[in-house]
Amino acid sequence: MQWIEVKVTFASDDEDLIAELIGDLFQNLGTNGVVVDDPHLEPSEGWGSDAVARPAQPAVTGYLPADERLESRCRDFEKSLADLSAQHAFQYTVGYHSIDEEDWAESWKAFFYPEEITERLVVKPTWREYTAQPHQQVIEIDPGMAFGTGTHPTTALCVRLLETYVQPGHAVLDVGTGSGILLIAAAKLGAGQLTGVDLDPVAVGVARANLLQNQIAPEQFTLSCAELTQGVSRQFDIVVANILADVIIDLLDQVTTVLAPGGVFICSGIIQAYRDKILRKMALRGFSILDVLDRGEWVAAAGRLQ
Amino acid sequence: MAKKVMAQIKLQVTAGKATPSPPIGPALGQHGVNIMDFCKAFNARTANDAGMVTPVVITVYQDRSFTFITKTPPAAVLLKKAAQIAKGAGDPKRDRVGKVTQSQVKEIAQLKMADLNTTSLEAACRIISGTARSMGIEVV
Repeated sequence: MQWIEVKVTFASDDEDLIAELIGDLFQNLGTNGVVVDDPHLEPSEGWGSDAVARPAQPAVTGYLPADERLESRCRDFEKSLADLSAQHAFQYTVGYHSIDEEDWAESWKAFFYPEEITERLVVKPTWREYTAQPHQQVIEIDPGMAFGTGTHPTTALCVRLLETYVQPGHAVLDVGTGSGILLIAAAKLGAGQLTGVDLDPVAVGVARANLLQNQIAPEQFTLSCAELTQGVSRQFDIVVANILADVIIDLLDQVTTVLAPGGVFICSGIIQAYRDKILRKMALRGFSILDVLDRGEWVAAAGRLQ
Repeated sequence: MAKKVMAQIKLQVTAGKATPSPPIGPALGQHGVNIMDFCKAFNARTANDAGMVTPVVITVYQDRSFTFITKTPPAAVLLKKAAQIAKGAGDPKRDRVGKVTQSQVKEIAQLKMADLNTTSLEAACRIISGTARSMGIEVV
């Protein structure tokens, strides 16, 4: 299928209003939305050295399917646009550009490559080739619609902590398992029984596919759709959670019931601002802190249940 | 150290209904953003306003991770909803396609205050009334 990109570039004293009214014209045509080029956008974090060029002029872009209605829709659109410009005294130009339908949902994969996340573990997207060194283990991942490509710092920090604390035969629980990447890492490190829970049924399906892709036997793992440790009845040597700080705070109230005495809790997905709050709560719940790692704005911690 | 920004993308899309088709697909795909991650997060965050046109600014970092903020729907969209009309006038000078009351204008102004460059409700009302007139909607 082909799409026609219709880009209206304009000049006006009241850019916000004109952009809004042009967006409204596209809305009248039944488009799914528009892209607004705003030359004044300024991120508070500052631009990187390889930032894309910012638009020089304000513009609004809509997309129309190239079908039998295209010609009459474009005619209607140009007429309403001419009326609007007469009313608001702004200059504009309209550019048409034809684009092929691609699988846009897949295009980000072009930027996802194998990555050595620790000395011993390499994350490899299923669609890439990688020749492992003798000391390396390869985790195969297709994250699909679930979180966890392994390259995100929060995941990488968790894997490093798993590498330190997982012993052969350990039972591991992953709360918020996403793509299942942490369970696979634990399995590569010699863990025994693996349990993963996620709120999102899609993630549970993706995790299952990824565990099987990594030759983990179905009887070695259990995956379920549940909130935090709900429905988990046994105790584990290791519990890992790569979620977000406020969820981890809640999880700390229940995690002690699913950890064996002397078991290790690993948490990640915490931004620096929450570091102390998490560490205090861990201490309050009877954990002695073993390790705190950080990378950029992200923090991960491991504690042993006394 | 804060992450550096590679691109910022401003879109107006329907709340709760984001899909990888245009405009989201081509706008985000070219920057290497995981589009399904965005659609999932956007739809989750905007589920309560499903169906409303919602402006969103997406910040893409150098590592292809992203954050986004949603804003209040455009005044034009809110006015059409208040006047219960499907579209603005073809020629707003001649045509009157609908009416909104002063109190509806005030309601919209209050909702839009955060995104308008003013702290005065009176000034916000004037901006909204101006938008209404420019669409052929009469303020009564």
